[in-house]
Amino acid sequence: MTASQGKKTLKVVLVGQPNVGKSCLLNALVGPCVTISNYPGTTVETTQAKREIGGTSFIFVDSPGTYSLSDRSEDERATKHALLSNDMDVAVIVLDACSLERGLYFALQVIESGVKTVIAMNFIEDAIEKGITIEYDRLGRLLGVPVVPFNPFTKRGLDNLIDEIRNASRLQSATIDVLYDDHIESVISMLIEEGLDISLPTRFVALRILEEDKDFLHLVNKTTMKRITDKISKDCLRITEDIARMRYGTASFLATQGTKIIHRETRKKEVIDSLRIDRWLLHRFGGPAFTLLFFSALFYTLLVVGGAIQCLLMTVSEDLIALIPVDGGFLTQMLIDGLTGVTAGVAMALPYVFLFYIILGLTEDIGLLPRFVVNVQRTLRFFHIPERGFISLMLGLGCTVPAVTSTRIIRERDQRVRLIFLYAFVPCSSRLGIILGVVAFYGGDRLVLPLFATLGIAALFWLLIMRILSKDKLDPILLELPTYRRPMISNIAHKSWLRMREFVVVVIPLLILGGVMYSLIDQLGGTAVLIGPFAFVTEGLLGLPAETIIPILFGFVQKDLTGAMLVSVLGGDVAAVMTPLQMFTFGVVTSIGIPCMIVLPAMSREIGWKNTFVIFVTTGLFSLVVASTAWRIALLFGFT
Amino acid sequence: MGINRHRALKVAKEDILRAIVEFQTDSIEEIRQELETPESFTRAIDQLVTEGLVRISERSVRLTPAGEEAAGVIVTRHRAIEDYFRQEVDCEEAHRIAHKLEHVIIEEVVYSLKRIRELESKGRPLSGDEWGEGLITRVDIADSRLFDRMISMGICPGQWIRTIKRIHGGLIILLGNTQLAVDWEIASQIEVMFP
Repeated sequence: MTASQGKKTLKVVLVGQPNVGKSCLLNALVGPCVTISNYPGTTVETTQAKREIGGTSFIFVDSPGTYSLSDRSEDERATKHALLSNDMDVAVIVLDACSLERGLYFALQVIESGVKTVIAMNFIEDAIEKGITIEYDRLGRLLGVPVVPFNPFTKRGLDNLIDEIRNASRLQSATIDVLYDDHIESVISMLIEEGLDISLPTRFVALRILEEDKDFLHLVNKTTMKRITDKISKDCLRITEDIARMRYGTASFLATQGTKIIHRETRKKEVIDSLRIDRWLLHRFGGPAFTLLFFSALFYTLLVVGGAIQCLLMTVSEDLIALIPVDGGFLTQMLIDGLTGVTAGVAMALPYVFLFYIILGLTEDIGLLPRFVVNVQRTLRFFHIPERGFISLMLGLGCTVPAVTSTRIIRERDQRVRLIFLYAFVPCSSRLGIILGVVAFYGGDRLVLPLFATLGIAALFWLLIMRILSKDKLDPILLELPTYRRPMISNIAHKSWLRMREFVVVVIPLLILGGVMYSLIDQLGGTAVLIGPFAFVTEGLLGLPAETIIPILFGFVQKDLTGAMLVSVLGGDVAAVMTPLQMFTFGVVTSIGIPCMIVLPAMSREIGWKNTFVIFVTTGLFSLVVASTAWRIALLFGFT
Repeated sequence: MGINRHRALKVAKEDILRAIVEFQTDSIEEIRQELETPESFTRAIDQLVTEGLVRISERSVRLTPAGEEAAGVIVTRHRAIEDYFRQEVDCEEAHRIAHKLEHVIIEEVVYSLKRIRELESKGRPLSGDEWGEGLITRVDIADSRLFDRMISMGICPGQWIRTIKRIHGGLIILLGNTQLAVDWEIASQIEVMFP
């Protein structure tokens, strides 16, 4: 481990099991910078935040929750790498005081790794309510590391925690030897004698090897491995299981030694309430019905409330733009076009993005998302989609980029690729903006249902193909359901702002740039060059005005430009130029496929450029096929 | 650190008490040879005398009534552990394991081990037919990482588990304050004894 002496900056990683409050602690230490939710798997990548406290500058690293160091997915691997990287000075293990044994199981693994450690104990008030008093000093003595109680909301204990982190960085790392049985100890000794060439404690490395950790297996050569496996098979050991069992035994022992049970353990009131609510929300028939109802209500709210806000914003912005005197000058025209782009874009997207994030925040905080997962798991598994992917799909209703990253909770790469394919059919809020703010706004609300139905049928077709093609086995279901919590308005506001910030920082400048660029290209006669060659697609395949290629192409740069450009290209009153059927076809073609360019690098980072390319091309072509077919079928039935 | 410092003396004291009963000897020299940590011997004997558990005369050591009681607990503990591990390894090995574990294991665990040994054969895989609170007697998963995941979530033999309700393809269980959804593939690997 690095020596921190003489170093001014302390790098501190926050680790712990899922949903114990690591992100809460980070926000309490440095101010709101990461999203907090009530479901395991909110954080899928490490986040850093700096802060100067009492003359020392700290870099805090929030990490995805992991049940143990035996990582099973990409996000858990990120935690392990952050923890064991050489540049980390101190690890803060966040534990839930109400689930001490399982938390200590993880803590023992971390302490075994020789990292300098401080334990931060969360939910202490809940534990006291349950009749459990934790003797922090005694537990700390037994473990050889300081144990500090804290409350991220009242900020109690944070100063003490900072002091202990500072102290820990100066001291030698603690060592606790979990005593394994003689067989295991003798195999550990065999491995240690091999002289494992790594900067981590050899006993820890030996244990990781015996626990079949792929990151460490390369450290032993084949001959040694053969000797070890021979010894293990001779002693009939199920060594990985025995290690886990004995470590849990030690955790259990420490938990009993470090706590005082004041009165007989009773279940937390929240747990009892949660069970009562779940009787209905996880009912075999009531549960799926509730889930369906929730999503219908979500889209309906977006349509009605979002539509009303959009109407208001549009009227105000049109009135404002009308105040600019039209003098026919080049610059004035660019200013008007730029403003039209940005105001139309904001009015069409903002109400839906904003409303969706508020509702998503509420759902997350209450703890509904894992319940939805339970209710839809059978259907998802029928299509060979891992059930945990549902949360990622729901996040996709916000923005596809973080949703793609959130698939890291899925272990198998093929399953991730299949899940990411589905984002071609999950309308992100910008696409919801097109469906609700453009198609419904100009073509009528009655178009919304057929449009969603078309997307659904297209997705179903795709799911069936994936089901036929996929041969792999899904992991069995083992899902933690957090207790319901009362949503905190401040948290939802912070979280929505963190998510909306992207919109303000990235989208609004792009809308201005797009508007100005369009104006420039148009005035130089460039739009005709674009419109002509693509007429066979727009007019021929889709029955749309040829100019719509501009919003379709600009939309690929940034999806929110689609609506704005449509208004720019066709003039203010879109409804006068396009028939409802054309609005519908336009909606279909812009709602299926990879939404926009910024998704491509994110996708390529997660599943490689080859898969990204395949998804991009196939879903792009598929969107044309679906839109064209839907248009022709509608024509057959006499719609215009 | 802390745990290691206390351990040597505690081990020595308990070994002395057990040796007096098991080898039926009062010779200080013989007992010293039996010890796992002979360097702590003198200090351990001194403490046992102070605690009123043994009496020393010349070259022999005898248990007081309180000492007999304490030694009885340790011997029972040793045998319970030995008995438990004898299912998996031979007698000699089981004795060696018990010899190590007897010092670190607490009474509740020994009690659980004894109970688990007795109850292991009585547990049945979770099937959704029995409801209420039961004791996990066995977790049998071939995939070691999945096993580790289950243990780290608290699904461990000796823990209490409550079956809550059926869902499509599985059931909801409660461990302490943790509510989990598991499918039948996992549930069928958790053997539970319902009272």
